[in-house]
Amino acid sequence: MQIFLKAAILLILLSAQYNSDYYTLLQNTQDKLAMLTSMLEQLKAYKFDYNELQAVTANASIAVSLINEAQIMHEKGNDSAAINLLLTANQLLDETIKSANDYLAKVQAYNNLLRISFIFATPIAAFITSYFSTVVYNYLNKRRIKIIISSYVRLKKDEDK
Amino acid sequence: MKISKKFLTLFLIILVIYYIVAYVFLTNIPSQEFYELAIQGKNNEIFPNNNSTITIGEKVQWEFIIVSTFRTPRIVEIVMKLGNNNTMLPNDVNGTPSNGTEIFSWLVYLTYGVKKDYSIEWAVSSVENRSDYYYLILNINNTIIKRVDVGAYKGEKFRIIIELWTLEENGDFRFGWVYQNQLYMIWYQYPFNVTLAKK
Repeated sequence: MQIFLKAAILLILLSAQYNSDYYTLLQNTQDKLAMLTSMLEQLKAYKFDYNELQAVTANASIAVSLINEAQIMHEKGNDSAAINLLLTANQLLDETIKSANDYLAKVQAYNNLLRISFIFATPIAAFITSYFSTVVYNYLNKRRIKIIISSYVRLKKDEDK
Repeated sequence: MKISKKFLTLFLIILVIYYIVAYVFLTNIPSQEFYELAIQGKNNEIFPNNNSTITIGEKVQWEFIIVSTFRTPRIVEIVMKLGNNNTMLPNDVNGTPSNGTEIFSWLVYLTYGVKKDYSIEWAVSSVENRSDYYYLILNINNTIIKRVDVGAYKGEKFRIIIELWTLEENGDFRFGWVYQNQLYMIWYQYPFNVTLAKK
C-alpha cells in the first residue's frame, strides 16, 4: 500500500515537474519570438529584400508550427511530447535569431555603403548634369544666334538690292 | 576656371533635386501598417446551411485568413473563446478583451503581405444538462476534447468570440496592437444555439 502511495506521489511530482517545464519552455519560445521580431523591427529604417528576409527567417515559421503542435499535445495531456516539440522550437529559434542578426548586419552595412555612395555621387552627378546642360544650352543658343544673324544678313542684303 | 552665377544656380537646383530623389530612394516611406483577419465558413456559410442552431455532432468548419502589412515579421495569436448571453464582449474603447472562456488558440508567424490560412473544425460532441442550462463539451480539430464551464439556458445564445492578439517586446501577448500610439483591434462574435438533437 505504501509503495503504491509513494509511486502515486512520485507520479504527481513528475507530472508537476513536466507541467512547470512546459510553461517555462513555452515562455522561453515566446521570449525568443519577441526578441526576433523586435530585432528585425530595426530593418524598417533600411531598404531590404522581403523575400530574402522571409528565407532567412523561414525556421521561425516552422518553430511557430511546433509551438502550436506542442500546445495541442499539452491539451491532450502529453506533456513529454509537448516539451520535446518546444525544445526543438527553441533550438530553431536560436538558429533563426543568429541568422537574422547576420542578415540585419548585412543590410545595415549595405545601406550604410549605399548612403555614403549617394552622398558623394549626388554632387558629382549634379555637377556633370549642370555642366552638360550648360554646354548644350550654349550650343543651341549659339546656333539660334547664328540663325538670327544669318536671317538678318539675308534681310539686309535683300533690302540693299 | 570661372564659374558663372547661372551655372552655380543651375548646379544648386539640380543638386537639391538629386538629393530629394536619393532621399526618397534610400528611405522607407511610412505607410499605414495593420493586420487583416477574415473568417470564412464552408460554402461561405459560417454555420452549416446558414442555420445558427447546431445539433450535437454537427461539424462547423471555419477558415481563418490572416495578412499583415507590417514590413517586418510579426507573431499574432488567434484566440477562440466561448461565451453566453452574459459574456462581456471586447471593448473597442478600453481595449479590454472578452471575458469568455478560451477554448482554443494558435500562433501565426506573419511576413509582409503574405496570406496565412488556418482551418478549424469544431463540433459539440455532447451536452451536460444541469437544470436546463446546457454545458458544452467541444471537439476541436478532432484532437482536443474540451469541457467548457459556460452554460446557456436551454442552449440558447451561446457565442464564439474570435480575438487577434499580438506578441509584444516583453514576450507577452496583448489584445489588438498599437500603431503610432493608437490602439487597434480585430474581433468577431458568432452567436449560436445548441439543441439536444443529434445529427
